[in-house]
Amino acid sequence: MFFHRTARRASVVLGLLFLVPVLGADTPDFDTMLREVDQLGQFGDRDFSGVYTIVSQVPGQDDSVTQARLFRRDRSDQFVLIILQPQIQRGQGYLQTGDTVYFYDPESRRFERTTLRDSIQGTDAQNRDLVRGNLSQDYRVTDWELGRLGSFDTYILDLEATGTGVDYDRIRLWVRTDRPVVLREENYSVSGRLLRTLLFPRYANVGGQAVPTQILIVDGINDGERTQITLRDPSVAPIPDGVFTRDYLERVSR
Amino acid sequence: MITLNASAAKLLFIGLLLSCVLLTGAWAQDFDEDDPFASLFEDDDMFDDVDEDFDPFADPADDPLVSDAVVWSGRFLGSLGAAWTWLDPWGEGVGEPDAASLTPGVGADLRFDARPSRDYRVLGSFQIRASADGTTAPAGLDGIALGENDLAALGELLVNGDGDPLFPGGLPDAPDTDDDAPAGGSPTIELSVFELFADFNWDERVFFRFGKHTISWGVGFLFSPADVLNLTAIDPQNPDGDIEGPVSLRTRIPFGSNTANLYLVVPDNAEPRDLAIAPQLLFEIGETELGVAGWYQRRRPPRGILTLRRGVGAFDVFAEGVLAWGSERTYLEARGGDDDPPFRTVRRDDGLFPGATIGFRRLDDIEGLGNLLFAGQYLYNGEGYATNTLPGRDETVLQIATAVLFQQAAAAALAGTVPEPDDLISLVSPDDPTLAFSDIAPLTAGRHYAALTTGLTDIAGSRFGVTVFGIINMTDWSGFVSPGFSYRFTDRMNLSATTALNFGRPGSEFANPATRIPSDGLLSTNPVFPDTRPIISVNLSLSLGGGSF
Repeated sequence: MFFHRTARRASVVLGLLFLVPVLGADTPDFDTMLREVDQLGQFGDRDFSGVYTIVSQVPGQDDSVTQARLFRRDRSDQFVLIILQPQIQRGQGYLQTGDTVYFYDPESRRFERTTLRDSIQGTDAQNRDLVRGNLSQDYRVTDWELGRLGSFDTYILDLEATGTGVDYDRIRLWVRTDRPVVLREENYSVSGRLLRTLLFPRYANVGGQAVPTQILIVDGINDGERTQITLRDPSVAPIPDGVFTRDYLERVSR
Repeated sequence: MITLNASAAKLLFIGLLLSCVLLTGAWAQDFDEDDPFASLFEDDDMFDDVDEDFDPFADPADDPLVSDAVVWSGRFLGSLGAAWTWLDPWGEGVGEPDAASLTPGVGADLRFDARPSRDYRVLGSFQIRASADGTTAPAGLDGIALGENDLAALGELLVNGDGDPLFPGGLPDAPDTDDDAPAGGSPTIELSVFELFADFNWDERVFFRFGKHTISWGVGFLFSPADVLNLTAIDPQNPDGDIEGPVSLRTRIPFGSNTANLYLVVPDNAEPRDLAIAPQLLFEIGETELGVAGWYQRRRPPRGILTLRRGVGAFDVFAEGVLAWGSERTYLEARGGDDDPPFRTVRRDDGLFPGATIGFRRLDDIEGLGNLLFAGQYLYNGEGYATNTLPGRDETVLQIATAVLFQQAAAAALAGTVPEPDDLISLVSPDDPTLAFSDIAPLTAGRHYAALTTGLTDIAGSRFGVTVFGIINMTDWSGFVSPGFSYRFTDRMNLSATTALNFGRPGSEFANPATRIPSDGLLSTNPVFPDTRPIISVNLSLSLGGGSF
């Protein structure tokens, strides 16, 4: 009986001993972490530009290739995205000024309002994938755990939207523990259905910031549909003011 | 030696396991060999070295504003349309249709784009349309519009006192209406310049566009009362269709997120002083775009214009307001008591004529559902008639206006062939202003209109799509509804079937247009109009080989 009690106590104490380091460990400041994740992709007073190539794979169809040049000016919440390929859509483009995103339709000569969630040329890539995020303002961390992805230790964060004006109600984020770099992101619907998985295996240091140079998007609904985004010529060279105007979008359109 | 019984050992094991799981949250990740993405992150150094000062404008090949060669592009339009119309399905049933047609449509748009330097560009767009003879089904907005061909009926309508036709063989020079033989002649080819303009600028500060080009002016999706610059208006049934612009010079100065435009529009056959002037300021205020504009042309009503557009949730909400001084239309009025003639036509060159519209639109790719278009719009047409009948008369304004137009047209057509052609005019004075087809065109007669359009394509990943369009004149409560579905066989072959049900009392705007053409007594002060009920039409259209190149 003594041994039984001793063993029971020992097992509980032993278990608690193992628990102590976990319960006692400092919980990371996730608000700060999300702000750092947001900041890492922001260029402040410097402009940013680059050429994105988007390869979309749909089972049973030929791969579609879209190439677009992005001009960003974060200090005034502006971006311009110009389609370069395919040739037939060359010149179509998006313009964000403040909180508004316009798509210029060269056929109707009209500027149509759209959203950051709008897909780029029908691919799984969205405008928001190419511009800075706002995770720290739009989401809060509801749960977390430690994990490992490939060679990297990661925090796996469960995010929940704080309002209704977001594209996804829930996001799961894999962030490196040694620096606030996102490796993986999962977007969920309000019902908990996985809609998209985004992977960020390559980055570039540009202007002191980290920019994904390779993004893989896996469609969570349509099996086998994938989109790969690669970035070339990332730059923080100054961009003329005239680029961030409707007029520029009209001029480049065909 | 300590020995443990089974339950104690079990407790110890669970405690150890729990601790391990909590200590290493990635336990499952560490040993989850099924994670297909882990291999993407095996490289310890995931950062690439780049030239962060790369000039994106250094290589002309990368600059979308410059092109070594003139780029030609275009699209082919091919379709085969079949239409059947039943004018009185309620009485005669839907046996043999009253009208049937088979209409091929072949066309192409060709566009060239030359960009020899960053500050100079020339663009031209040409439309080629080949059309065969065919009968257009009188349904929808096209169906309710009366045109020159309707004057062909005058030959049978003009009768003497004995009821015998004045011109039994048709009007002199009237269109030949013998269409017994099936159409099979050579198709008609139409070639037109849709756009042709040059872009140039001064020091990247002031941007000019001169030539024939579509002007982006209003914000309405189905109606745009603010757009007085373009030559054609939005077709509510095809709101994404082409809108043809005039020859104009646009001067644009961006300032911040805002834009100042000045349009100088060149009218046809005009003196220099007839140049139309239209300044416009577009302000971006948060999520709202506010436009303030004006329009002036000598001898035409000047206008002040406000436009507003902003996003509200998933919807794009827009509004236009127009205030014009005077109207370009000719109006029909009733004279008092037993006056002869009983009506008069008048111009209203003075007075304020407001117009306004407000609407919404949602265009979205809804995951698992399809591509959705949902839009609705209300139009206040201050130039329209407040009621659909005139005091003391049973006929509608449109019936009397149509009879007056026919009388005036007959008098004009017969001038020189009969001694007193003015005797053909009995509803109004021969000295009154002349009515034009534009005075009774669709969307002009009523004061209040509303339209709704919705479409869902690629439903749940399939090749099916559905559409519903409806429009109503809330002054005479006529309208029509057009549901349809489509099936995409391939990207180059699409079948669509639509039906159109027109409703409204005889003589109202969207009712059977035949109820507005006098069936008897055209030359009297009491013309008789047929009393037919709503018509139904069915249209099948197969698009063949359409696509861009």
